[in-house]
Amino acid sequence: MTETPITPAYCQMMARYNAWQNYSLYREAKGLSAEARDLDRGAFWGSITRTLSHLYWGDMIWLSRFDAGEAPEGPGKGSPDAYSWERLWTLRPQLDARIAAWTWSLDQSDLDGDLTWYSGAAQKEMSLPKALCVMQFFNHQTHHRGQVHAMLTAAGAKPDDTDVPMMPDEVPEWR
Amino acid sequence: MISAEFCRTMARYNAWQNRSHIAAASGLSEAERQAERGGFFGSIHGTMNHLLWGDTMWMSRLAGWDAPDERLQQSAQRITRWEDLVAARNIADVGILDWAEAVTDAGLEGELRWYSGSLQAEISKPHWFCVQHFFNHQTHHRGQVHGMLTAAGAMPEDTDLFLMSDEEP
Repeated sequence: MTETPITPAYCQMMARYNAWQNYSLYREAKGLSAEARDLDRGAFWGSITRTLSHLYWGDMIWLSRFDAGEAPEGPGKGSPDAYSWERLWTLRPQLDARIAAWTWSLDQSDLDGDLTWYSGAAQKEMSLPKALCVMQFFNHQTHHRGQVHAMLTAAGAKPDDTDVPMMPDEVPEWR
Repeated sequence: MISAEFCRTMARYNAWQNRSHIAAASGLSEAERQAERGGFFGSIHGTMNHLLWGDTMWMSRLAGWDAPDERLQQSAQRITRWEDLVAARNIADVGILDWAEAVTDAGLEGELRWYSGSLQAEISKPHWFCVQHFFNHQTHHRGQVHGMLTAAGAMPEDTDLFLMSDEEP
């Protein structure tokens, strides 16, 4: 890569989108029964709850590499079962606030160069352009939220719009 | 902001992921692809149809392609035959790669203006913001399709951006 493909403004916008979309999906998931949330619907990680747990775990592991903060519990292969629905409901808005705080702390130079980390999955040290890792972080969110969205609508729930241009100026409160 | 490099990476990712979904869906029966699975656009075929419609609509604004004749409400029913949808998808993905190859950082600056049929109004948004939405919209709907594909027993390839092979075009 000859130049950094993203800026802090891109990260800030995607952090706001992440918080908006997570609230929409969690609000709708909360309206379902525990049985409906935990039902194996054949997604890659099975159920709504397990996919949300995997996504929380994945966000925590990448963010800990970006901001040197807290990492998730347990190894990646346990990601879909690492967090219960009750804990996710409490922890997700805290993580989304931390993601937003990280994006607002960024300078352009923070997105330059490579990120090096020890990958538990690959059992070796990995090194990739930092900007690509940040793009992966936000794209991974949208991918798994798409799976959850499909399971929610199949369960009769109605999440909010998903188009970035429809994003409200203020992220709704988590309740 | 995003740069031209962002567009090239995401255009390659788009082509890779669509190829993976087409391969996985081609292993299903016509009935399985058309089955109502409760996705926002119903079926695997319907969601892939909507996504191609959306991509074509955005490329009409970003790259001067012909806009689809159909409205958003008809987007999931636009192309009825699977073979035709696959052929149109492949052509579009090559076109998106070509557009991304030609796009410049300067070309992503400023405002993009278009007439929105859905909103019945002239719209103006930062150019880069629209391009970013274009790629995010793809990943969102592919996520829905992915959920329906695995539920139908099909197995697409990896989806992580950082696992994309350098050999992707």
